[in-house]
Amino acid sequence: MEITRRQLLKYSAALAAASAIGLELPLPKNIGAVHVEKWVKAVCRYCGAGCGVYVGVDKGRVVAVQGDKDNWNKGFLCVKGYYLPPILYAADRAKYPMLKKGDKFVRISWKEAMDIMTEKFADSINKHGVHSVAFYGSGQAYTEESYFMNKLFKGGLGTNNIDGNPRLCMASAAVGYVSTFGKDEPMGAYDDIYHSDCFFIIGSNMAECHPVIFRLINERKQKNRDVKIIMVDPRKTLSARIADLHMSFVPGTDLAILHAMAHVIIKEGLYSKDYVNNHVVFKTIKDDKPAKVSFEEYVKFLEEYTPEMAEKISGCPKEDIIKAARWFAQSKATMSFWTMGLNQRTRGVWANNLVHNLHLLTGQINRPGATPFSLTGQPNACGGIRDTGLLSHLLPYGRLVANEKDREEMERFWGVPKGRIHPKPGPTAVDIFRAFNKGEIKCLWIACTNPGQSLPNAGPYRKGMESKDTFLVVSEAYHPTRTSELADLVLPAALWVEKDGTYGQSERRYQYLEKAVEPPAEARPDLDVMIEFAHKLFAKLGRAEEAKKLFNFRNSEDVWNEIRHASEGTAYDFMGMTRARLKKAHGIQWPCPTEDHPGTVRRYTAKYGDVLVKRFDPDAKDVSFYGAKADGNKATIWLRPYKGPAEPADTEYPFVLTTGRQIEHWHTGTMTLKVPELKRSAPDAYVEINPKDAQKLGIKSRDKVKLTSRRGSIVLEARVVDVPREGLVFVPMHYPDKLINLLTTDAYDALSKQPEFKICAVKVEKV
Amino acid sequence: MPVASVIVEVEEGAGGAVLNSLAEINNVSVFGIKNNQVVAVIEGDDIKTVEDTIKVLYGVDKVIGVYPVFAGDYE
Repeated sequence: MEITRRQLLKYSAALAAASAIGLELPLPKNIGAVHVEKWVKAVCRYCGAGCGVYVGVDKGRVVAVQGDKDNWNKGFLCVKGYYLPPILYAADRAKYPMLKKGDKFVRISWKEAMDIMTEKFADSINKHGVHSVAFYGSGQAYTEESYFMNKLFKGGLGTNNIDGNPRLCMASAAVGYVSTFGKDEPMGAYDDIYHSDCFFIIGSNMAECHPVIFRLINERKQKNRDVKIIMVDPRKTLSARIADLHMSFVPGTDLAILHAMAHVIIKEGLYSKDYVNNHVVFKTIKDDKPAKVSFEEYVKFLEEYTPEMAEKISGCPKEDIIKAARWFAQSKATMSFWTMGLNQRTRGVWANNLVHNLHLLTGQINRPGATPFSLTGQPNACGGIRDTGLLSHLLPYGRLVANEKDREEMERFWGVPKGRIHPKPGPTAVDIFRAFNKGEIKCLWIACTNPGQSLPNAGPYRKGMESKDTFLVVSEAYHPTRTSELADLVLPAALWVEKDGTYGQSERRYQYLEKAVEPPAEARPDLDVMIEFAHKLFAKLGRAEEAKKLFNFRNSEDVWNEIRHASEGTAYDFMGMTRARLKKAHGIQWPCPTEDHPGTVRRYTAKYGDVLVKRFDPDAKDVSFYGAKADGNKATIWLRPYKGPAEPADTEYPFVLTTGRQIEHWHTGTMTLKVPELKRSAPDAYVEINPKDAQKLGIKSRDKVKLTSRRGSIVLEARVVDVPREGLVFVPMHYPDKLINLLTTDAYDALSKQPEFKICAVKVEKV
Repeated sequence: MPVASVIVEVEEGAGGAVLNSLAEINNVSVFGIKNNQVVAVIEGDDIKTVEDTIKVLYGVDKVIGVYPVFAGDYE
């Protein structure tokens, strides 16, 4: 019987789905002739989950995407991943270098663009020194691109004026890990979901922001009805649908809840004495410095944080706090997840520390299913920025700018003179733009990110970016964006599978993305542009010979090979992750010190496969936090006092505004809003208002509502839904024509410098 | 003429009931079920029909998730 083309497609589609769940289908033999010339292995372009994908190419165009069934995501994708192909063919793809002349952009050649750019940067360095130029990178850039720019700025130019947008989304998680465990990055993996009996999800709407990871939790719950899910969130999001306990609270008061849980755990004797005795130290801050204290002092510190006190502060019922504490401590294995709800806070690091405290106190850690796990917002924020060290205080692979030994190690590795790396950490994201506003930074290169929309309190920074007194270069795949529109020079960038490179996702899994198609018109891979820029700049600075040695890279593989060696011997150790292995593998998790090493699912435990325990702590029987050598390879339980948000609601601005994400869209919408199917499903911004608040204000769904903060105002359509708690309004951050960040606060965490996007005070008026 | 496959996740023990419900949706074909996961294919004259059908699947009783896996639109 002849099979029609339509039937063929139908079978092919079914086969893809059946393969994803291991279901064998009795299909005709001549299946497979779908109009895809080749399938190219890659990773989804969006969130930090890092779903493996295959990209279908036909006649030089990406025509389909399917999930990689041999990767951790088992072939599943969320709706965004499924609709990836159209992002490459949007009408506003940047195709040519564009220079702003007057108020208009005019097309110029690449040669002109590079000449102008290097002239401006060289002139600024010659007249004002190296600290007058800066780079602002991205957790979406490939690892090789970020590593290169870090080397150029810190090792080549000798300035730490380099930071990235992960400062806005996960810096608090990074500092939280370092301050508690001695080194950054989660110790656990998605595999822990299969072994966990209690999920503690706080400050994360996983169902919309990390749907494929959430699916694993869903699956675990369906297979094991005794599994408990605790959701701690002031909004009753889609994620709360499967929760056994939803704990709502006044935004910014969760520190009190976390302490109260610890209080209950200790009071009821639910903590693990063995674990605490063997693997934990306790610290507080005395005279502005960390100081060790005893367990008894920790118990005394917690005395005041009774469930009653926490209820009074947070509005979360004490019974729920007690129940959550018992479930957390008594389950066979508890795994916690969090993301922006904890990180985008002025007490973000402390909030991270307090989640870690619960794991350490109860011993719910260092075994399958028991681990703290921070989710990541971008596909390469972990791999490209945190690991590579593209933050102004970091050097590659766990090294610190402020640490002399680390500086010397990197200077030797890069072959630059001792003292080249500046000992003082540079400005962080918000401060780079503050310095640019003031003209202290005169030339700024922004690549692969959209701060004109994504910075908090964006108004003043947008004005600074537009200033005629400074020079702003924006490398972007699209133009105009809310940032490129402010630029002096726009460089068209290849996007996603139009170039090759490496992504490192949330569970320390590095994956290679193969190039599948050519970029449009004159768009180029950022790495090519960066290498050319470095050579031209150094030539203008009279350092051409040095550049030949320092930037001797032909392609991303050359850079990757240097990266492996930069990580050698560190707690990261990628030596076994050769490019050849990454091309074949469905991701490899570091540490992976040798080419025959399979990668490490769980860190800090020799029993479950971390070979670095023996390297760094030979006497350890199993668990060792070997990044915390100064503390005897023990983790820290921190005594962090309760502190509320920078700008709580008050009589003048009586509502709390929180921003966040929808399942259809990602970040500033430059990609997902170009996908017709996603845009149709979620076309515009809105404000969620609790029905009780709406009733008091006489607001109905679809009414126009004006939100005003101390920094700006915006008019949005109301959506009256029982999702935010009373006193809270929610607005998605995706929409370029509704810049909610004109209202948010740029107050930031003193430790991580991450801004408090999640909480600011607003008033709400019906228009 | 788009064709899309999805995995429909259903509550434990609800596979039969959901399969019955899916059978009533004109443009949905069910190819099999394993471990509370149903493989289904949606056909439509245009992508809007496919999108609308996905929303319908979300609304079916005992369905806890709908995950697109593959789409083709080659005609």
